[in-house]
Amino acid sequence: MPSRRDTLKIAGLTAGAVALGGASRTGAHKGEHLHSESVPHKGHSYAPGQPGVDYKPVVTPDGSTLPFKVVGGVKVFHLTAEEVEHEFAPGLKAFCWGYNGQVHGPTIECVEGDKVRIYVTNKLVAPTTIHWHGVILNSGMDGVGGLNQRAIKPGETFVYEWTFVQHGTFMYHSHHDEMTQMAMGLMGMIVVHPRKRTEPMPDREFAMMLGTWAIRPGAKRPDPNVMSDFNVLTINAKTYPGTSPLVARTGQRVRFRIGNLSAMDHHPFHLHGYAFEEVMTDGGVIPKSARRPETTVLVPTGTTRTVELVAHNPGDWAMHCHMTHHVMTQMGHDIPNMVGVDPKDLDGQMASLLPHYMTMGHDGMGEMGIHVESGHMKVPENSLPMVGAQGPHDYITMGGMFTIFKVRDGITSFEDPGWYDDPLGMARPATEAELSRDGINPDTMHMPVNSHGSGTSYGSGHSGHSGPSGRGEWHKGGHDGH
Amino acid sequence: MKRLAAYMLSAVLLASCVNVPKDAGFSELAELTAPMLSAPAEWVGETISEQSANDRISALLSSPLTEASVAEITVLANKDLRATLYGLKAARGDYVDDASLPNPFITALFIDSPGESEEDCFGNLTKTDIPIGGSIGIGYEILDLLFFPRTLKAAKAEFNAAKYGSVRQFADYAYKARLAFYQAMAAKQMVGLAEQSYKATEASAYSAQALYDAGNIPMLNVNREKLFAAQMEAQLIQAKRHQKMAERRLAQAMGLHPEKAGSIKLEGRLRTPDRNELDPLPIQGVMDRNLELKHRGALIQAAGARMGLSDVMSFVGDVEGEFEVERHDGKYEYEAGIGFELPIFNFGQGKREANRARMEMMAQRYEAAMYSLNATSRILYDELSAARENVLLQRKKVLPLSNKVLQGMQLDYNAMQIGVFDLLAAKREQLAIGIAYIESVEDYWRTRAAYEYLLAGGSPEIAMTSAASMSAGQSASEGDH
Ligand SMILES: [Cu+2]
Repeated sequence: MPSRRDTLKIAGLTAGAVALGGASRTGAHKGEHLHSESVPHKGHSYAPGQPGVDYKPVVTPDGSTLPFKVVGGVKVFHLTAEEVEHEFAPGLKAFCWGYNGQVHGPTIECVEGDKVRIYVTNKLVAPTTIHWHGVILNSGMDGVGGLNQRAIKPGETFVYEWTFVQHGTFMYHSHHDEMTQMAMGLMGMIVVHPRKRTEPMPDREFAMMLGTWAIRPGAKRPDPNVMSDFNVLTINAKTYPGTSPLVARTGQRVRFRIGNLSAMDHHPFHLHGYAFEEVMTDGGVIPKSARRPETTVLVPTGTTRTVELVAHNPGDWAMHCHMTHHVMTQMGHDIPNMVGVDPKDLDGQMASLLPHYMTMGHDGMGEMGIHVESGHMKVPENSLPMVGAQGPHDYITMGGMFTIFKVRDGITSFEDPGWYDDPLGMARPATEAELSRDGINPDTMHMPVNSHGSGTSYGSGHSGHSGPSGRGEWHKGGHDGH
Repeated sequence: MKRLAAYMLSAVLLASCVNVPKDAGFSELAELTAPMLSAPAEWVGETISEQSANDRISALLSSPLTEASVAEITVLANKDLRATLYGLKAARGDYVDDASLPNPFITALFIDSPGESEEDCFGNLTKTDIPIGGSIGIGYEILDLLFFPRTLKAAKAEFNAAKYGSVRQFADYAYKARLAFYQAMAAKQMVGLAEQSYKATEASAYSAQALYDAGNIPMLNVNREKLFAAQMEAQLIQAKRHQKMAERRLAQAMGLHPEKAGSIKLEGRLRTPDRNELDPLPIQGVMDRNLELKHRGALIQAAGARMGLSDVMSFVGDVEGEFEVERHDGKYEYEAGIGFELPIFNFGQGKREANRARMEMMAQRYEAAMYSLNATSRILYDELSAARENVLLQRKKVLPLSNKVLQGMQLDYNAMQIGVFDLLAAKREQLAIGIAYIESVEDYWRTRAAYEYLLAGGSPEIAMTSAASMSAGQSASEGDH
């Protein structure tokens, strides 16, 4: 076992190369490193960071934080890899692999400079290892099976040991038979707080792991052999409506630490109602000068992205992967396109052959979840095909990698506050008076179709135009042809 | 001479008390065929009038056919079967004929000459007067009489052979009608499934057209579905063709006039075999009851009896006794004589050798038939056990599983994991399994009919099933779509 001094040496920390904070980073000069230090480490040691003192503990929605104890100045953790029957959302359970009885594993939370000793017990049927993704440590602790260590056989307990010489958002996952073991869920988040703050401490921090699974409706185990047709898309191993909302008080500084360990997918993660700033990757802090406002952050697989905002806009805000097939649960992709198909008397024709047949999809798939949830459309046991959830105003036709960021004025509890009742009003059917006031005829539609900018009206069978009155004359698009 | 007379007298007595069955053995036929028929044997024109038979046939045809009504109609309507009964009657006649003493041969000569004119040397005719006279002679084949008891024995054996042959034929017609019934039932059920399969492909094509109309798929896909539907329509036509043929065959087997073939009613479906295990094969009973063996046995007996005669005849040839009374010139003259063949050139050696060889041939054929029957019995028993096991397995496992699979596919369809085309393909697969099931039930009933026929004394033919056709039921699934 290498000594701590060796660890530091191997980590490439030379005296002259220590950069303080994120501010001094200008580029990868010879001998310089890019990971983020807020304090010097060479020749320094720090007392174990304390929650509530050195940091406000991160919230892992639908997950937990791994407890630790301090033994001789070292934070000691224990992870046990094992099979877990995990619920992705009510109605869908599967036998997955996780740590300490949960999927994914608990978040490991530390402070820069913490010395850690992590025991890993293997209670799986297969050998395993753990790799500490993004963490700067000595090679022998890196956890790649065969390369850095031998695999931990079932029944064995290994110990990993290092000092965090950086802060940031990292991840841990199996690095033995990754294809199988990560598909089964063996992963978790690591959050390391800076020893010294150079930026305001966030009030709320959320750790979120994005993942993809293949679980055939009716099956009870993820299929690691699937390469592209993932049908259960998760945030912290929960699929909507299984995902718990992220709650903040208006005015709070909020950080989302988002990791992605999907097998084959990157996720453009989008938040409604806000612009945010990407402040960190798993490589380190992004210099302020390089940050830009975003509404969607692309989280490629094998990376973390940390974004920050001040929650100035109360409401219920959708937060989801913007890939539309990633906000569907257990969708089949080999089905014919039924959109716009006139079912005519097909249902009648099928009645004698298949009494339970019903033409579906001809008006889209939005109604699907309602049919399933109401129970009149029987689906395989233990499945959530195309299911969303009932919202305050209607059925929410979203599933998969979808959750809700709930911002409320003056709350003290961060339990789910329920649905937001917007005092400023919401979209509703237009009244006749409004239509008349603004000269809107629902039966006509205006589209500029040629370079002369002239609008052509399309209506249902008759060519209407915008009306004779002086009210609501349409302004042509600002360009007037050539 | 005295002894000869006594012998002849006893032969006459024997002839007079031969017991030839008055109904030509019909009651025995009825008794022998009873276990093979699920209907009483009748002889239209003898035991039942033509009119009552026709009324009964019409009554039976007005309801859906069953094994029993098929047998009854066959008994009442089948002209071949009726012909068999006349064959039996003919055999009885032959027996009566053989069981009668041969008649003597009488020659009578009567002379009443007008006289003869004689021409003298001068050309004058002189009439000679000759008186009236005549002679009566009785000839008798003495050997016929001597060997009469033996002839009687042969005749009886020949009649028995004819009787068993008739019973066999009689039962065979009923058995073949039963087979035709199962075939027709199965063919009808097949049409039902073929219709559904066609419907399923038609619905597929219909869906494809709807998708095309919506702009969602190219015409190529529509045409593929339509092509498949057309193929299934062709299969339906084939199934209907088989049904029609099977019904006509059934009518034919029952002996109905072809015009009546259309009035056949078939309803319901072939039953599943009962749960009771098959009793062990009663091989000895099968051998004892077998009509073919009885027929062959009677033929050998007859041949044996005939051979005894033939042996003597071959050596002695004809022995003819003759007695003649002649009246001549008012006086009676008596003459008696015996004539026989003189065996100086042909001692009958060849004939006897041929007789022996023929007997041996028949004996060997009898043995061969026994072996063959024994083998047939075992094959049929095994076949029936296997056919029964197959149907029960299909019933207990294959059909319920295939239904579960289709239900699962319906759930998958509901869960949008598969589309309408896959769902319909799954339905067709289920129907294909249904077809395989009907094939297995038909196979079972045909085998069972053969086995029951065997137990009752029949000799059913076994069609060898090719290994390839045995596994045909497994190719239930159709092409990918
Ligand atoms: Cu995504």
